[in-house]
Amino acid sequence: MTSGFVRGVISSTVLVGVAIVALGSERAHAFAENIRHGYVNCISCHVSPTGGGALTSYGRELSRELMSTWGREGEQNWMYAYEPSTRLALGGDVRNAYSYVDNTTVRQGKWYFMQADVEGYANVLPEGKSQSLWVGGSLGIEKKNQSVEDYDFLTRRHWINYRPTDEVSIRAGKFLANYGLNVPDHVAFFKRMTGRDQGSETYNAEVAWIGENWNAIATAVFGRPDDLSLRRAERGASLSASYAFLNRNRVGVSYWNGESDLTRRQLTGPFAMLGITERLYVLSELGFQWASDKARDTEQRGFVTYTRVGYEAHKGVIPYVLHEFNALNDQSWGNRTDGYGAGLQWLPRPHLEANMMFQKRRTPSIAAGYVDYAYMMLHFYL
Amino acid sequence: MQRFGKRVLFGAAASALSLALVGAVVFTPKSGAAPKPAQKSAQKPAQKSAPTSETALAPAAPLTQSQAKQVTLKKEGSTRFLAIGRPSALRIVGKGAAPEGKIEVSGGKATGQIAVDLSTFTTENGLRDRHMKEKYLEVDKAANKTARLTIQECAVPPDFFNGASATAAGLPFKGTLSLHGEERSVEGSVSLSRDASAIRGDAKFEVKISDYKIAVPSFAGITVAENVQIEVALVGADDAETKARP
Repeated sequence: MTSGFVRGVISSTVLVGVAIVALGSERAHAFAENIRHGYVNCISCHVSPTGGGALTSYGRELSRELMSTWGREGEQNWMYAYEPSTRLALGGDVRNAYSYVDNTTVRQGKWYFMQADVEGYANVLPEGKSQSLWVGGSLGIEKKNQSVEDYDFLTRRHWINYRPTDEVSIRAGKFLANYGLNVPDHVAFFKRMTGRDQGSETYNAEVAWIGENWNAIATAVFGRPDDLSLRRAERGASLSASYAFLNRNRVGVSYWNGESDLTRRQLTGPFAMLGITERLYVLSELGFQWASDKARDTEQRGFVTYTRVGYEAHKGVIPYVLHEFNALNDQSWGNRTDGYGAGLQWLPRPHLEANMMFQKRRTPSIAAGYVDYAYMMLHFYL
Repeated sequence: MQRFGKRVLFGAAASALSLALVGAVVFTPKSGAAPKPAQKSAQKPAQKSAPTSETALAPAAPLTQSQAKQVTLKKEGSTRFLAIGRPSALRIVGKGAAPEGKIEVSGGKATGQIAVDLSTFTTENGLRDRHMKEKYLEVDKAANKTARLTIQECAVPPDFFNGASATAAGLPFKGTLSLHGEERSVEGSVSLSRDASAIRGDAKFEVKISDYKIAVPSFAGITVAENVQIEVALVGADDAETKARP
């Protein structure tokens, strides 16, 4: 296992290097927990109205000034070189992850390539206009199969976003439709079990009101008309409304109604981002789902939760505890899974993030007791 | 299965307890924030024309001119501002040192001057703090280092200093604010409370920063709204009582 771990670190480093030199692209990675500093909306730091992806120039400054343990003047620039502009936002992410499971039948650790993307958006309206029109997208590579070194090019996101006022945003294109917290935790039950994992981007049209207190976002989801082989890609709509209060808290509720070639489902529930103090935060989400399998003509109901409590012990060093519960299938209670654990998120310098998490997980139908699960993610944002 | 069910119940109970704790923490007034007036009077609507107080053991005997009270501010107070950054509705909360100064209450009217050292303000962001102090407030210039609020008109209920304790909510005040070398009229409200240990006040008012010839702060696409909310938490002691103590 140790040698596998070392090989993984080396291959990750190589991959990161290759991606820096060559290309990259990919997925929403936002830090909702920054609400504890008064960042109640995503667009302070991200070009995307719903967060994640390319950073605004303000977001880049913040990555050094507020979020990283160390950082020199200018280090936050794109690829350490391009000084941020309010009219051109460049980004990109390279992520690799290691997961480890230890139970009575298997002990396995494995590195996964997650993403390597570059991303760019430009405001194409003339300087001095109060409105903005952002256009851009991402380009990257994805592994066709985790077990073989075979890659495909892909563009996970490309969209056009018109903002006639500070509060109103209209966007169309390919992106992850808005729902709930949208935390970047790749392995969270909430993401994996509700179809909001990496690669779930669809073509959408989105209208958003992003106010001082109230946010409301409506999204029409058109699935993946560019690739009809993706039978799980859903079409439908999502609605989300939330309210910010006491300068660093937000609570809201989301609703999703989607249908794919295989399933039909509704998902709804509340979410909360609470900045208890400047250092302590809570992210929590609860989703109730009603789903039916079209082929088998079966139905299942259930819920899934996600709760993370973190504390910034030192600038950029954020230990946290995590609890998750997945009981989305009331027809098979034995398949429920709960997990609790602790982790550490560290942003040592601009561009770098490491997230390590250890969890005890239990699924009664698989094993009587809790099993060990560990996860580590290395993230280099361009 | 049963054990699992028990664990679920235990988990649900623990979650409910956690939520209750979180709720209690979130909705409990934070230390450092401007103090709220005592609950009894806080529930009362602001009465601009006829402010009232509620006193314990209150033999109503208004202060006369010769019984003027001098209140010296102590260091337990604080100053706070809230600015909104656009377009993202970013909340910028600045916290500064306790205001210093004296307030005199005489004939049912409070007057006085309080001063705050602007170089003590922080907003949890070093770069922003540097910009705020160097580029906008220009606190390196001696004349700009201190903001002064002169209270010219604030009616205090005549029985406020009677009895062991008292509260008075929503008292309107008028005065002038000297900031960044400019002086402008301001209006706001203050809530007062008094007990054996101190006299406390929670003053709120709004300033338009362009009135004080402060450039509207803008950085990396975020522009601060011109109107800034100010909250001043005052903690003071009656000079006469302080001197009388052994």
